[in-house]
Amino acid sequence: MITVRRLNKHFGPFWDKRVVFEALDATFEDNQTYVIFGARSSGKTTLLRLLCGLQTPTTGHVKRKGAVVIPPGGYRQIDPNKTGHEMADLLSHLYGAHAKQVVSFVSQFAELEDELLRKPLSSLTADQRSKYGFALSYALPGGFYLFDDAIAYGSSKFSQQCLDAFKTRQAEAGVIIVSREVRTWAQLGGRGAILHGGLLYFFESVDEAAEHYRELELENSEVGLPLAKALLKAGHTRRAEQHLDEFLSERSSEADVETFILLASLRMRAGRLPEAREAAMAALERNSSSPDPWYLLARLSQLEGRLEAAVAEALRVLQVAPAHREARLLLARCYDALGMSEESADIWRGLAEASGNRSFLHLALSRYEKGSYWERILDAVAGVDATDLDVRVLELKARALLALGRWREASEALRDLGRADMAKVGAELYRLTRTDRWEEIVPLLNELSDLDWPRQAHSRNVLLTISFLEQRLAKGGEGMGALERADLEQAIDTFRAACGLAIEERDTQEKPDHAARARTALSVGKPSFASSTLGEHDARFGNDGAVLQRGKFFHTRKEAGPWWSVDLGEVTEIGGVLLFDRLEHRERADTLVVEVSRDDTEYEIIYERAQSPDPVEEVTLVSWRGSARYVRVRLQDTNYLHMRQVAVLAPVD
Amino acid sequence: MALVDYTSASSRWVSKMLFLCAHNIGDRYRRTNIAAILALLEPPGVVVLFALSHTLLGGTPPFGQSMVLFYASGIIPFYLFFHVSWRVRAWDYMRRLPQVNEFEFLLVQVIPEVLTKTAILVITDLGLLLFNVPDAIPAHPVRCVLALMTLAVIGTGVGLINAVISAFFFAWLYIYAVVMRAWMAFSAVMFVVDLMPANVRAISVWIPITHGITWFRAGQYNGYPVDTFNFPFLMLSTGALLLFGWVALEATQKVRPGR
Repeated sequence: MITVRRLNKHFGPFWDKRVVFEALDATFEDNQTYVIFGARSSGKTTLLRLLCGLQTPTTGHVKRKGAVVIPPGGYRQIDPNKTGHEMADLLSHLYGAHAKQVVSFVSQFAELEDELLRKPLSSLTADQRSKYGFALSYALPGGFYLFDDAIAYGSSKFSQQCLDAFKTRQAEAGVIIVSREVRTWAQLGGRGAILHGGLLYFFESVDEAAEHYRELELENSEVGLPLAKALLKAGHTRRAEQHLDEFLSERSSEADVETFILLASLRMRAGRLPEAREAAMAALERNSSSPDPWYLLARLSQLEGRLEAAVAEALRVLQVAPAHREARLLLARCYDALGMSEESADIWRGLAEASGNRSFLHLALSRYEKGSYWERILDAVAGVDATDLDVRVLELKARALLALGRWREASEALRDLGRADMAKVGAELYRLTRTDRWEEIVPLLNELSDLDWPRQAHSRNVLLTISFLEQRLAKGGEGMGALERADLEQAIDTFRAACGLAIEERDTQEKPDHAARARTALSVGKPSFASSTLGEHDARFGNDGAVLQRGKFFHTRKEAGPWWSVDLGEVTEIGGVLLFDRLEHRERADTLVVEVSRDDTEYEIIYERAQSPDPVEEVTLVSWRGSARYVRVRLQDTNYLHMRQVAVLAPVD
Repeated sequence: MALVDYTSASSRWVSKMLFLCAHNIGDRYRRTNIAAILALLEPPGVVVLFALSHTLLGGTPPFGQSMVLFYASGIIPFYLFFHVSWRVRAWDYMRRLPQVNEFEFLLVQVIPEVLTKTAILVITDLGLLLFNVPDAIPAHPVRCVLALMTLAVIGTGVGLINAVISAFFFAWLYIYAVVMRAWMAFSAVMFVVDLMPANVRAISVWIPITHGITWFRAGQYNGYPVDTFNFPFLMLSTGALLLFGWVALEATQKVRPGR
């Protein structure tokens, strides 16, 4: 319990003293949470310092039963020139904790290496200092924990850690939070209080205190900008705008840039863009060197769809304030919308470097990838720690190295990627097989065979990779010597073994040339139809005979029972049907059936894919002998239907 | 059970105080703080200076056989008083620590001074023993310790008074630093009070520090003249100074510039 009795605190000499507290009485019960609201300079921070003993009262007493932990950042009041270790050591002794455990907790919690903790705290970056402050406060044992406006800080990960630690401490001890902002403190439960005029007023709940505090803020705000801000804080957006309108109509000459900017923002939020522009222009007239009016104009231009103007205005902001985060975000989004990948990527990258935010880096990498700026990708990820298991970063690094043909490094990058996500390594291999760079694929497969493939053995990418490679072999190895062929065979076998898949005996006999048969099929050039068409992939691509041309296939929309059919012109003797699947999304054709008809009304099913034994065979020969005029392929579920070719074959005697 | 708790709490408190004293000393003498090193070296430096100049002028020690021991037994206790009063005068400016109350905080300022000055005295005595100075072994060590503690308390009282004065008149500290060094001449540091003329004795007996130093020397030397030494006066004046300092600090709390 903390008891405060007749506490007075003043600053400055007696002839010019500033009284912060005068005869303040308060009692803070054990295991209770208190949220104290107070305006700027109302003495919130001083109160916390008095409660934990970092400051002494001018007169009066603070009695503590149990330890009161200093607020995060309170160590600066003791000595900012101490090292992290020294400060932790000192406070551990004072709070009766084990110094090594405290240092270890701080180091892990704040992710600060030991080397950093041996430097004076004043030499750390602001971010590191803040993390240290929070970690130290949560590390110390106490009966009360104090917080100045925040219980968490920084990145979502660190913030979540803080929140978890806070919940634990709150369950075991008392908590006192002081804040100027009426935020979501009510969720914490406990009692609320208002610090006003040097006295504390307690309320039963945080909500009740917050409500009174809002009213107090409104009462005490000066007309113009302060009152508008107070109204906004209280959630009265419309009233704030009305007040500013009235204030500016009467006392426009007294208004500063900030007033016009707030008015413009409110109008923009209300969707009244021309009026918002008017206010932003008024702000600009008052101060053209401030970045804020230009930023507002850029936002307005963006909302109006005038992206080039938005870019120009955002660039003006960055001339004045190069680190203006919002302007950079806006600029990046405009560049994205204008299709200027390189420019957009550079800005996302700059934002990532400034904030350490990985999602910005991912955005930058995606844009670089889109424009095939592989070197830039490597440059952007160069600073990322190799032990960092950011899958997206590792994936794009590997992809860039593969694209640039830096195989040795690519192999290492794929290993790094494998540690984070093996499925992604499979995907990269599959991408690579599709580029027909056989001479690189073979050594890579051998090198990477010691990775953890068995779990990926039945993944789509691995099966497709093996299938592609087998097809390459089956096609007779165009331009490939006997040795290279043998290498490829061996690589496939090694890879299969690594995946724990059975190594099949290869059929050394020449395989039937399906492509040649398809080119001379009965169906080539005959009228063909589809239930629908997606993009340019209309029905005629299904029977044009161009089996080997990539990108030529028919494609329906996603619908129930999509179909494609060919009219042979008359009832014809048929010896079978060759189905050339697209390997991408081959699973969509899992419910495929082949039907024949003489009159386009009654169809007989001659093949059902659901019973097909091999899920990744590219070409399927449907053996059926009989007479029909119409041949149709159809899905039995709701999906897209796409095939590279459907060849209706004549009987072979 | 209660006794065990009390013992455990006491040992925790002692451990905390020892840590804070070590921390206080470490803080003052680390990072090659020239001012701190000078403060540490000043008392022995002054001893050497006085002893050397007196010897060169052909003088003999005012008491005993060693010039160095005589001056050390006066100057170092005087500096203990002076340095304690100098540290405590910054009372309002000192950064407070959590879990440390005002009394503990005061002790943490005083104890390190007592320890460092005692260490200097012990080192000096051991050094003189190497030169076969028999008086280097204190005749009554307990008296020496009590005298040092009394001087530290006088320093605390004067320091608190200084804290109050300097809060309103900051230049007082510069004046005090100069006056105190000159004051050393009247505080029995360089002479034996009993052997002084009557008019000098008449002034000296009203200075508590003089009695403190005489008490210390009476512990160091066998047969040191103590006719003018007034123990009740020393105790009363020490208590009065401490009380006055504390009352002055409390009474001016509301008018002293707050920090």
